[in-house]
Amino acid sequence: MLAYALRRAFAGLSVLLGITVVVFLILRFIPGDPATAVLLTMVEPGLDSAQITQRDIADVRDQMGLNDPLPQQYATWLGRVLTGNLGTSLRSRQPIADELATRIPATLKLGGAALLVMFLIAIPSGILGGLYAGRSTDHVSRVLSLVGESMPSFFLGVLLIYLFAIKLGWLPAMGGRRPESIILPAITLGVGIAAATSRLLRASLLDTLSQPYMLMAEAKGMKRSTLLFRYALRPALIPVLTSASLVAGGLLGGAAVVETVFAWPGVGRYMIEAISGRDYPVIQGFTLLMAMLFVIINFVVDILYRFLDPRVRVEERGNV
Amino acid sequence: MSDRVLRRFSGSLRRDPVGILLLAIVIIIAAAVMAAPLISSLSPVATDFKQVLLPPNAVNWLGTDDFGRDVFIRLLYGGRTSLMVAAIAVVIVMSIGVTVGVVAGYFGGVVDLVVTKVIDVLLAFPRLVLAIAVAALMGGGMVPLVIAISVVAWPAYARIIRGFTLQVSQEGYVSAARCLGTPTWRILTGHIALNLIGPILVLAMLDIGNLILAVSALSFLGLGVPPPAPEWGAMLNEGRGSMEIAPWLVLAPGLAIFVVVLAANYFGDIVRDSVEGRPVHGPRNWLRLPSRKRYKSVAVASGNSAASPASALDLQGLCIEVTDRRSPFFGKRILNDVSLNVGRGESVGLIGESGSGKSTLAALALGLTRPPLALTAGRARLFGQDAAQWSWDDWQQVRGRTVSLVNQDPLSALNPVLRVGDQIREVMLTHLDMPRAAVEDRLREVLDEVHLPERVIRQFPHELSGGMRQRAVIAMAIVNKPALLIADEPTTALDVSTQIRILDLLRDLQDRYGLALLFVSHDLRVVARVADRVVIMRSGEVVESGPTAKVFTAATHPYTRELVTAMPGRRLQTVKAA
Repeated sequence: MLAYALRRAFAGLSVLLGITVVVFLILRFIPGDPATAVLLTMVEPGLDSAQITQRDIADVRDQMGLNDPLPQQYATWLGRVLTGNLGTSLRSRQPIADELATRIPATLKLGGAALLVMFLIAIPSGILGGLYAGRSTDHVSRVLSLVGESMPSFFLGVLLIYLFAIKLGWLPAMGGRRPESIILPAITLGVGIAAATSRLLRASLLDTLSQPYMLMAEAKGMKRSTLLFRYALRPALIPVLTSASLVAGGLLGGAAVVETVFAWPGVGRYMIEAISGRDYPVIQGFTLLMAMLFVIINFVVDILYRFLDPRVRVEERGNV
Repeated sequence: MSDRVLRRFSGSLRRDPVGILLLAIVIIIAAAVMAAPLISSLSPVATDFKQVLLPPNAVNWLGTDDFGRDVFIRLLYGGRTSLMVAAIAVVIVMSIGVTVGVVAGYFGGVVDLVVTKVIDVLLAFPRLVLAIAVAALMGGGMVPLVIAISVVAWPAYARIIRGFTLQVSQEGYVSAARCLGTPTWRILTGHIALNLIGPILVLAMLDIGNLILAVSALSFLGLGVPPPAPEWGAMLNEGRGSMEIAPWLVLAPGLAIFVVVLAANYFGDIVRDSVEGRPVHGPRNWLRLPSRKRYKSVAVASGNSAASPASALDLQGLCIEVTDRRSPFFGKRILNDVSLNVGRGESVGLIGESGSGKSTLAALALGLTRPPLALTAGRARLFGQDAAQWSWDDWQQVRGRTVSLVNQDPLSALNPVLRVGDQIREVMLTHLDMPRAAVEDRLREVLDEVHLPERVIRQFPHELSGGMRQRAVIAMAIVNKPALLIADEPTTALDVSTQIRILDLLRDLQDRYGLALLFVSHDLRVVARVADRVVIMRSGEVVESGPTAKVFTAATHPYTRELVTAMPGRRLQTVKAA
């Protein structure tokens, strides 16, 4: 188990390294000169590129290390990133790492709440779909899945605001100051990711229901609840973990959109605001943070999967 | 494969009014979007501040926005952008994905290694995050939008196509072409790519909804075409501010995206089902069975059945038929006028070829007959009580307590995620009111009886060999000292020496507990080893029955004689008889 975790951690590290290369490169390959972009953002508005002298540009290029060979630039940048230095925001002149750190709790809170919403939708709908496969209950759960995955989150969010905040006035539309503010964004984010999990749980449950051990358990005289929870659901939930990667991707990607719709004070909205200000280092830092979170989540899920499924657990013990 | 999928796809679409409706809507939307200039002469960008925020009316079907622009015509022109970006992205993604995937899969080696690494890294980003970053850094606009979507979408395709290619290039005709000296490019295009068309189309169908969603999300965030050009996601974003007084500004583009994506996903679903097949029948829906009023099964359940002299199992003139009209075998009779008697402590062998109905009979003895099958005639008595009308709950008390089962396949008869000890314990805990210590004592005792070491209590099923698993299944079956044991092909999945040991164990347990044993098998030698009496079945009917030695030496029915003659190593039976 430990050896497996180490091996996976090593693979994860190599992917993380690859991520830093990609994040570094996308900033280098954007059209236009980064130095010009920095100058345009940092000096007073109203100035256009014609007014920037070649000397200014050369100075900034030199300051930014853009004249060094690419590998050296990368090494310098990576060295800074490893010490937690993601650079400085062009607009606020604050360290980006600090700015992200103050906003990440709000994003994690929203992600957690959305996960809860997802479970509340996906688990019952998946179980009912599996147990009543081919019946009307199954069809209803299927239609809900389809609607859920076809609904653009920004449209759903706006509709929820219109209904519950504007028309009914039950919940706040924007911001994150009041505790109940989280309800609408969490629903918006949770609905979008529930469909895949519900679908997977249904299929997985149908699979365990048709296993011979199900029949055997019935022949042992097990009660309905035992059959459902210990025999059908428990083995069926393990494969559902594999959808965690999909779910995490949906949560992290969707956060930017949903936070924008609800003006939620998380990292997603921070990044979207940075786009209009052409604050490139912030976009870069955000992308790096999200990818790192994603890799870590996938790593944890992978280990958890090994831990929960005794079959895989022993296979690994045998191999090492 | 693609032919079959296509046929199933069109087949399921024909029986599907919702699908046809969605298809019609999508075709109408696509046509309207294409023919936008013909439908209306209004301009999508011309502002008119005298006409601001008009509700839907005869001229402006969907009202006007806060610049006085017609929402309907903006919707049409916006659809052009949204759908075109998605369509171009699909083409690009497919081309890159297929090229990279095929090259990596076919050539392998360093190319494959590098490509796989790149794919791994790109897939390690949440898709939308990377798309936003790329689009944002490129400054927004139509081309960056296409690039952003393509960059994040191609790796997943490349990975799947690579897998397919690996598979296809192992096929005989590809190696044959290679041996014949066919140029590599012709193998790649002619043999491999051609075979991939089906899977690629399926992938595209499954993903196009997601791509449209991603395009509109990016344009909602202001990363699409720059204003004032219309685009669905951007229109929705612009309309948010005036939503309170002009909800149509949000509803029109939102519904447009929703309907198009819904249609795409719906067809994706149909395609997925045509490829994977969608199980529509829950296999054993005991949960659906109504909990009817309990019959008086307590006498049987409490095990004081020894008092009555009735047979353990007494079946008279049983008929089981397929009664579900939806089944293709509706009306087929599985068991026809079958009578069978298993006395107390008696061991009866039930012999028959596959499909003779012997397992259906065994299931009946446990109350496990399930739709589409049902008992249509005859009498079934269990220890003198009429069991034909017992409800699921009545049976639940009897199963595992008075009657128990040893199944054919020990590999899958145990729950893979529960420890063996727990699976044996729960049989006692469910049926008997025993103190904890007594349960533990009985658990150790029963393991000893089936010759399993105590360590299996803490082990998971996959840690045991096939023979050990079957012993664990037998331990579960006998732990409550039942009066009747149904063994349905209990040794078929085991190797020969293990078979004999399991058979001896069953025989031994039968003697020890005075068990009645119904032993179902297609193997005469196996039955000869355990059965006092045999019953031969064929096509749902009993053709012969009698004491084992008599049937094996002096069979009357030609089918039985045929079976006995065909039995390899007949010596075994003579030895046994002696």
